[in-house]
Amino acid sequence: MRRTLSSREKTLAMIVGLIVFIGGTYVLGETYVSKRATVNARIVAQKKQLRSMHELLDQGALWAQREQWLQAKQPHLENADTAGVQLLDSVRELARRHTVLLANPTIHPPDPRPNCVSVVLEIETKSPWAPLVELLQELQTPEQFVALESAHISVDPADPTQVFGRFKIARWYAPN
Amino acid sequence: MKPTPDVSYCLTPQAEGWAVWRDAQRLHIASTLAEALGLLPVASRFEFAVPCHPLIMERLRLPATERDELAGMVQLQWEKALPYSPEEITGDFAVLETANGETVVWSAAAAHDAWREFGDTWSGANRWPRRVAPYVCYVAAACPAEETILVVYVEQGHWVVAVVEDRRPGWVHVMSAADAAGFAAEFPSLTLTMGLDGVPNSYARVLLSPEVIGCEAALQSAVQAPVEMLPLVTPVTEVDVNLLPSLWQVSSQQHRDGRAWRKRVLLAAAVYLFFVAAAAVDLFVLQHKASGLEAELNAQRPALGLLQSRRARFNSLGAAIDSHRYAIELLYLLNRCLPGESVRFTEFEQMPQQWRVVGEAPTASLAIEYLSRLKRDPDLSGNDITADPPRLLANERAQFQVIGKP
Repeated sequence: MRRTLSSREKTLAMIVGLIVFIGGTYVLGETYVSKRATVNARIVAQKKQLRSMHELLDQGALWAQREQWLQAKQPHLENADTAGVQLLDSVRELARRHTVLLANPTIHPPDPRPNCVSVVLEIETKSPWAPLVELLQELQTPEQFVALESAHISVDPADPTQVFGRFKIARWYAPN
Repeated sequence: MKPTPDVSYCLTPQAEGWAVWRDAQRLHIASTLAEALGLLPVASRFEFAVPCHPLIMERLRLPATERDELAGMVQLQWEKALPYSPEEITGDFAVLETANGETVVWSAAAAHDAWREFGDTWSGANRWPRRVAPYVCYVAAACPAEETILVVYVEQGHWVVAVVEDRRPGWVHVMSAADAAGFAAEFPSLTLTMGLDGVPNSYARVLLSPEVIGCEAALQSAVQAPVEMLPLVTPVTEVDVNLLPSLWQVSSQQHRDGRAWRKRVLLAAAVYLFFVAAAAVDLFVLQHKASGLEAELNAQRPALGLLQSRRARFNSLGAAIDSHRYAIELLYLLNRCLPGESVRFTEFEQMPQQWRVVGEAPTASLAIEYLSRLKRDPDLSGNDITADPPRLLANERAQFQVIGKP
């Protein structure tokens, strides 16, 4: 059965209604503002990501060309047993040409890596600065796929015109 | 049906039931007041012609004076006649004549209790009349002007006898009789009462409504005047008497205020909902935009993955194919920055993660200058270069060590 509310009850109902309304509006507004901020931040991040993605993709032709160059130029390991010897021979030939003394050569077995198969040769040298520089210059050219995995050069304390070198030379073959 | 502002609606009592009027046009007859009210257009304002039976009607002879003073005197009469406080009485009066220092007025009043049967109807429908006048006033207004006329008619089943003076009720009585025989029995005593009240006893004519036509014989024997039919009573004439109770005015005002507030609240709610909807649409549009960007990113990801794998492969082989990363190139750059021939390297080391160079300079300041040159060199800017302070050797030369991390 419906009963008419007294004025006190009406006032109380209005106050409760007002509180609920204000509270609800506050929650709604807060939710809206935070949600909007989240989505906006997401959009800004996505735009930034997209921009950098486009910048990268603009270089797609360059990287395709480089990939093509790698596939064409990177040597393939045909004989794992002789690869180290071949590398040593070519280094010996260079050293001979530039009058650099080689010592203690050590050939490591081929090491398969994600992007290459590495054939490593460790050597020690003794020579003046100039021949060593020439040897290094000739040793590393892009199409030879030769990397110096470590190099240590020190001046001979007894004879400052001479330098000792200790190198870990690697030829990186295409992965199988 | 929408109300037209210039149209006036009125509810009047009939012999049986209620009539709904629009100006001079009778639109409907309803059996109850509630039904009649329901037949009025929504939100139209209307007048109410109250039947005479709940009213106390008197003919008063008062000293001639201003209307305000007359009102006070009439009020005193009501208080004497009615067992209610002044606040509980609603009434009004019309001045009939002023002569010889006297004013004759006809007053009509009712206690609030008497209005209840109508008030309940108005409250039920949440509609109140804007003006209330006794129906007999409209009947009087339908009579010929400047004549004293005896009128007999029926409203709501009650026989009403009224003496009309110049189109205004001068004396009104609701009879207990409800048929011609009863009327014939009651009318002679009524004429005596009229005489005592000072009501004129000669009439220009007698007007009867069709419902009381059976009493014509009784009237003709008692009154020396021609008997005629009462013309159609239309509630279009403005009458002087307004009996609108203050309670109804207050209720009507409250209802109007309530409606105005309800409209404002509805408008505010609509505006509120509009903003809520706008916020929802805004979020939806933003989400849609974000989804579009995500889709675009997803579409580009395979191409980007391929590109990144190519770049990673190329960079992993950089030590063998990128001349900028060769040991000879690094040696060249380190040598280029030497401030003079007196500064020289004594040791050089290159590992995948870092390089290190040790050297000697004639003075510590030259060693420091070398370090600052290295840091300034644009081709070495990709390296994180650090150095300890130069160390003085026994031969007074300064030994330096520089470490760089690509």
